[in-house]
Amino acid sequence: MSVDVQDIVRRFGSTDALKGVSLSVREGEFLALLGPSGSGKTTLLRVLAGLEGSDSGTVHIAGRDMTGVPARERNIGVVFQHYALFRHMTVFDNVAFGLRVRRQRPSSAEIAARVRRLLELVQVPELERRYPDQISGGQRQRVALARALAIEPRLLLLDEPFGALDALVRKDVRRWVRGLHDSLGITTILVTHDQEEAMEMADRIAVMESGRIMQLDTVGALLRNPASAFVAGFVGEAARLPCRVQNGAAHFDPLPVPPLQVALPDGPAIAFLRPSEIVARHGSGAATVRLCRTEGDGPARLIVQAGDVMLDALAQPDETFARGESCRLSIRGGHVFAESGERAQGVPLDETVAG
Amino acid sequence: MSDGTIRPERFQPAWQDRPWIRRLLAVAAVLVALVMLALPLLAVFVEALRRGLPVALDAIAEPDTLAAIRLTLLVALVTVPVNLVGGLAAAWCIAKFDFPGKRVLTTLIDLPFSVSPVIAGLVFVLIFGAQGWLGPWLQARDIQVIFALPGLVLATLFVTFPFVARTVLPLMQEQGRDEEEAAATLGAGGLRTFLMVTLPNVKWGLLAGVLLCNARAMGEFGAVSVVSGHIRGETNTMPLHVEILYNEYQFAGAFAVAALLALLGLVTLVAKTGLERLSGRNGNLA
Repeated sequence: MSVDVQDIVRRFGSTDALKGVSLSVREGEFLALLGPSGSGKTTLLRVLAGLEGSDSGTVHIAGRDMTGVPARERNIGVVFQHYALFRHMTVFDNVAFGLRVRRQRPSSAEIAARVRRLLELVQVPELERRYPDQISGGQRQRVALARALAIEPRLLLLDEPFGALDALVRKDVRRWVRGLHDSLGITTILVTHDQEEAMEMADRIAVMESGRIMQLDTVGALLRNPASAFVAGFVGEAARLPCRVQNGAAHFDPLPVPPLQVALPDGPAIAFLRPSEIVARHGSGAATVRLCRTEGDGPARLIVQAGDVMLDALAQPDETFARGESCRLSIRGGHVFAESGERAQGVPLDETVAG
Repeated sequence: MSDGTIRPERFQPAWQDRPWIRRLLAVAAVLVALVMLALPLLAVFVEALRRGLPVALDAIAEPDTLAAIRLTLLVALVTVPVNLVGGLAAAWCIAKFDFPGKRVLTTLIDLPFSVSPVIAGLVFVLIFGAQGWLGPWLQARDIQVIFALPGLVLATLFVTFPFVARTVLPLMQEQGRDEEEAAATLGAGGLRTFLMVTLPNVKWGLLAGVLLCNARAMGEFGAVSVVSGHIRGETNTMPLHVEILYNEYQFAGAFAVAALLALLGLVTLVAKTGLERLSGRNGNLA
């Protein structure tokens, strides 16, 4: 179902958790709310679920105004950050809960059949008699998902659902959840502070900062055209370097980083340079290679010290470096933001050093 | 030792005290517990049975004593359910909701623990007694509160209120609201959530609280003593009756009733320990 959020404001005492958030999610879409902690993403999720009220603004789900509709009538599946499984119930009873509390309660045979189908779907049919504290984190997560899906929700909300899993399991579970979304077609909203997770799973990402959505776009668009310095810094890997624009060029001195040509007015600015945009080559320069790592066929990945900053960089293809070797840097491009917020794509000034 | 190896039997984790210190502390603790806690209790039973079980049973079979036992059980029977519901409601409100006055309520729950029971009794006399605020009004309608069962129940209610609330509240607070919120998103209403999620999560703690509440309700002396009036066979509960018998040098009767009272307390304690074990084995929180 489509979700349409208009100007939601939510205050807690004197702090504004949400400062006028608008958002629309298409039917069947997988959307991620990405932001640092305290950016309001979980509050927004809770407002959608009906667990939190809003001070102003509206939420429409499938065209219906949700104002005043309590959580229990919204038919929205929620997977909580710590799963919130009912600790005194078996896995079976947990999943069956949503069916048993229905007004038109299905027969117990029907409930049993559906619970088993759901446990098959989340691939843990053998756990039905266990209690939540007798299963692993990954299993709990699957059970929480099965429980949320049992009510046949029209919208699925996932609140940092992978945070408690270890890194190896997390990767698997992520792909599996995305696959499940694709096969069930339920509109899904994921809250996360992990950009890698958001980029891997979501069709579109809403980047949030201090109670606002800064940009809502596809991963590619966020990387190509970050709307603000915050988005450029938060999404994707990038070094954040202060610089000064003069006569259409961003200068990094005193750092030994060559200038970038940018269409910005003169004045201080912030540049974001991705590792792939910084290329190091042999030569006597003021930059020093601190780490050189080769992976497969691609160019070596470097950590380069330039002045007092460490930059992730790529080596010129087929060149490798010893630790402590000096090198010359060239910049292929980057996003530069003037103090006014105006943005420009930087291009190399000196064609000869362009890789 | 000279070769620098540590023999396994000598190995000792760095955080542990030396063995003799540990043993000394353990022995001291057990001794104190025996002398201060177990010995007096044992003395009560020994004294009660000194002239044999039949004598003790005869002492208990006195009509006044039987009346005291009946009254004690009646007071507990009224008090415990009321405090069960009241304590549970208070803990539930405080743990699961935010409302103005929450701190005041939390502090109020502890009030009976911090105020001397005698004062609690006096307060009820002040309110309901013949010279009290409501005294004339009650007298005009021929309702007796002080020196009667209602007074005993009120005083006991006051004194035993914290037990259920105080055992359940920390459990509920620790468990948070996550499961209730999950239940709401799954379509459960308030009552159903309470019965299916909140209550089962605290059932062991609740039972322990009820048992403690019961033990105190049967054993309370101070508050009850003030409002009772000590009318034999009518307003004497077991603890009050023990005191009267003792003051009248009826030691056999006094110790027999005391032993019975102690036995009720011990049964409660054993039941509570059993519950804690059971809940621990089930992997659910007590």
